[in-house]
Amino acid sequence: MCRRLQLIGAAALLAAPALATTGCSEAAAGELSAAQRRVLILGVDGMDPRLLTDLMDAGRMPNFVRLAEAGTFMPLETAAPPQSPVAWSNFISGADSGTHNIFDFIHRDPSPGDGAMAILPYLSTSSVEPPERDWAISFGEWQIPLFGPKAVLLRRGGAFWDDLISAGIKTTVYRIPANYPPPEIGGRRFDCICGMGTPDLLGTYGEFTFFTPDAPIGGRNVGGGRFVRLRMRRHRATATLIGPGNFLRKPDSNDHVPDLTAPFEIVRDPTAPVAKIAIGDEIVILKEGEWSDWVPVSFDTGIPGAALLGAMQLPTSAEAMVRFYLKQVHPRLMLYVTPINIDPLKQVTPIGMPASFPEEVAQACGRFYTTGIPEDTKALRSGALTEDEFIAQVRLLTEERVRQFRYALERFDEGCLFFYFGHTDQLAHIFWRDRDPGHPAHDPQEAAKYGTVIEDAYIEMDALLGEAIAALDDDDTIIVMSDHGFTSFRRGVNLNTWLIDNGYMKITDGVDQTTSSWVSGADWSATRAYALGLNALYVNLAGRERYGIVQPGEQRSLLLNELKEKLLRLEDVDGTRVIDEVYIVDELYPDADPQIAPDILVGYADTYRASWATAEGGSPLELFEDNTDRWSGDHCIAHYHVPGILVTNRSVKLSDPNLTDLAPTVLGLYGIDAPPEMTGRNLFLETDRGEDQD
Amino acid sequence: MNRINAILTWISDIALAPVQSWSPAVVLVLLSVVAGFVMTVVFRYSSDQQGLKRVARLTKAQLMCLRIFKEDLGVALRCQRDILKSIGRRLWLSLPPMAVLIIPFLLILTQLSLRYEKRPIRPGESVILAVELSPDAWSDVSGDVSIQVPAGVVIETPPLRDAGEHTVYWRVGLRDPVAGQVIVHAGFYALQKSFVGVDETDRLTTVSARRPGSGFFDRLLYPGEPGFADDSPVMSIDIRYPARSTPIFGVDIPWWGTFFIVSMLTAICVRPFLKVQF
Repeated sequence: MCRRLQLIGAAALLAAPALATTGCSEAAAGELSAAQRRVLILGVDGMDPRLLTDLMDAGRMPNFVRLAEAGTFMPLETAAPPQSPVAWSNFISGADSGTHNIFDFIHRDPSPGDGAMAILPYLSTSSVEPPERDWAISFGEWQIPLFGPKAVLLRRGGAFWDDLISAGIKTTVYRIPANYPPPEIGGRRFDCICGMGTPDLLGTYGEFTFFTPDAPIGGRNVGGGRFVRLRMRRHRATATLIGPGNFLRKPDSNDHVPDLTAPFEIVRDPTAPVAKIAIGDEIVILKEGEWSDWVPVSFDTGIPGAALLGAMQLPTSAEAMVRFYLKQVHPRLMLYVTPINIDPLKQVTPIGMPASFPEEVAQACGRFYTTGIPEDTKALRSGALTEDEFIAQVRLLTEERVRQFRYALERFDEGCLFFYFGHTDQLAHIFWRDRDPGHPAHDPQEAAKYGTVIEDAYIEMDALLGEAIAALDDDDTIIVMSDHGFTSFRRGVNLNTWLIDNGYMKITDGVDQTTSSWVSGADWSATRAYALGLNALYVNLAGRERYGIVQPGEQRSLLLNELKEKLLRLEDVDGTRVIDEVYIVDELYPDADPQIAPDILVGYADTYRASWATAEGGSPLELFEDNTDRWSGDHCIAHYHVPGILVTNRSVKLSDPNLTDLAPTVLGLYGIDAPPEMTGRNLFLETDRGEDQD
Repeated sequence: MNRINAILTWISDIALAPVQSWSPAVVLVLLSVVAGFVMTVVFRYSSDQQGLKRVARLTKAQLMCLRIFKEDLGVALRCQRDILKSIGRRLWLSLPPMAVLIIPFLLILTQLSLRYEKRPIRPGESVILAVELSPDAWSDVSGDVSIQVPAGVVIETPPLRDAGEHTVYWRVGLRDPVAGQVIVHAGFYALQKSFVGVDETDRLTTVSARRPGSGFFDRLLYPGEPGFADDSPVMSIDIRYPARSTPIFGVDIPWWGTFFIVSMLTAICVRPFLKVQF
């Protein structure tokens, strides 16, 4: 563990002087039956131990202090690499990437079926499998498929709730990341709502639409959304929301089906800053600067006899929901529409387990954002939303979450409850530069306005923790944890550019290096390694990659060692070390699936990170670049720079708690032995790795 | 029509007053049972029961004939023709009671609709209020339309004038429970529309979603408030209350579906006791 982490750990331990006066002893818990014990796990994505310590020391987090004084506050060692899907998978499975095989947000198929591509990137935690059979009832240009595509969870291994449920412990999980589609639990009741990884209706992580007169006639795609031209005539306009492909239409000769659409009308008052949006049977009146509630949207397939088919319970439309934000009315009307979320009251595909659970929550607390990462940072970064508008959007979804949290607490009479808050992570990504004067995009004026946004979110979490403490008894266990911490993202590293500069990658003659994405411009006959994702580096391995040239065995080993050595020597223009850790995955995770796992995981130094182009397999000309993006805080670096937090009302016996320890710890609270694939330890019983206190 | 509506609504309010605190679903089922029973009695005395019984016997015989002579195509076809004629005759004999029942039935449905179609809004919720002006009055009055809301209600948006629909919209929000009147000022006119917002929406409440215009059907379908006169610049005032859900045993059937199913089942059940032939 690096010195910094140790220092934080020591400081945190000092801040919790009452370790010995732990509020709940194992003996007290033992008086209750296993099923009666309550364990609340509050997952606060990206909560950073340094920032939390500062706020606790300043007396601004009284409930965190109270919890720490009753038990423990420590940094929590995160995953390598410290990316959310990886870290949450560590937490869920009680094991590392060698078991669950999640290594990055993005994985790649090294030899995709589609011959046009050398590699095919995909989202690491879930995929959609084609239907078992392509049987369909056809008539004219229509077809009713008898088998549908199926979403598949790619996280391997078990989850801590499997064992809890098997032991008859009531378990409820709200929006845990890396858990879509909902897992199948044979027979027993398990309440869960899926989190990060849950797609929108288009199957993406969330694509907003921004209607503006400034967009070009054909529209403009931006990362995570689309700008669409909107022209008002006599104060009214019609526009269209584009849905997924029409699932009841036969594909044409190019295997293409038309998109489903939902037309709507916008009418504005001739002078007042107010507009009406009419979509389907819904009418929304908004003032300039207002957000609508969730508006149900129906994408009709247009199939003849829809009423009859509907009566036969066959889907003839795709039901979803959006929120509108009326950015401006006069002189030019601008309207932002959220990604098309799956409606929890009419799920086109299950977003929870059982499917009635999200519906039950929506009925009790109102409709809610169902996309995995609902904070629309993409709309902010593309200019569709301003900082203030983004904060308002986060506020709306936080209100939804808080309502659900209170609902969950009210119903929490026994068992284990996990509740996730993600806005702390997304706000830190966006507003970190406002608290880092050394950031290249730091603006004192903006800092004065937004410098406390992250702290405010932490303080809000403290108030919610206070509610949880009040709702639970002394015998119950509360664990507040985060998957990783945060740091500033000042400089981006173009790893593919480095590979090109050092002769490990070659761009095909005549191809513009700077426009090549997803490594599509690589000359595979002369490329030995390529980078994709935020920490991953792959060898172009013969027998695995379609056009692999590096032979497995010694040639590969030599290459990996050479890359490691050179990468660790990489320096920025001012001589600053750029990479602190280079992991050869064979050594770090010997059980990892070699078809999926990267060959190297790059642990960047503090304030450095893979550039955005690197994440998409791009290769700009410059090796380093200042990060002037609004996305200014990050954690995808050497994992020991960004530990998460662990705050609990129980006494932790280990000095180096790790994310993988939490699953066996929770099982231990119910007297359940951790299964062999869980490599973590019981934090409340063990004093050293693998050594039981008793 | 205004007067009839007012009397019927008054009678309904009085009749339903004792059960106002009951579950709306229970009241709906009870009303459906009563309606089914009453309609069966009315049917008995307004129909030619002897004629219907005769046709029923005849139909039975024709069905038997069809079964016996199914091998003989000519006879079977003749039987089928006779069955169709009997069905026609039966429908014909049902027309007089239908004619007697249709109006009270429609009035009952409109009164039920007044209580089951929409629910009042709750504090914290918002609703859209739409004032439709006559096309002739639009150019003169549209710039001079405003609303005055009762205490507990706030106007959340400026008026939105939609020239295409000759309608002015507002969004109003409920802060505290209220049962009062929104006053619409249109030029020199001041017109009222009822507004209801409550804490507890799981109670039977009269919710008039529309103050209708001068058209007969408009007034028939929206009996909660008197229709506007022909020369009024305002054609209608609508409040887009949320739809009321009245689930029966957890199944969310539309209220009219429950009414039809339960009243029909009641009629079928009481038929042998009342010796009624449908």
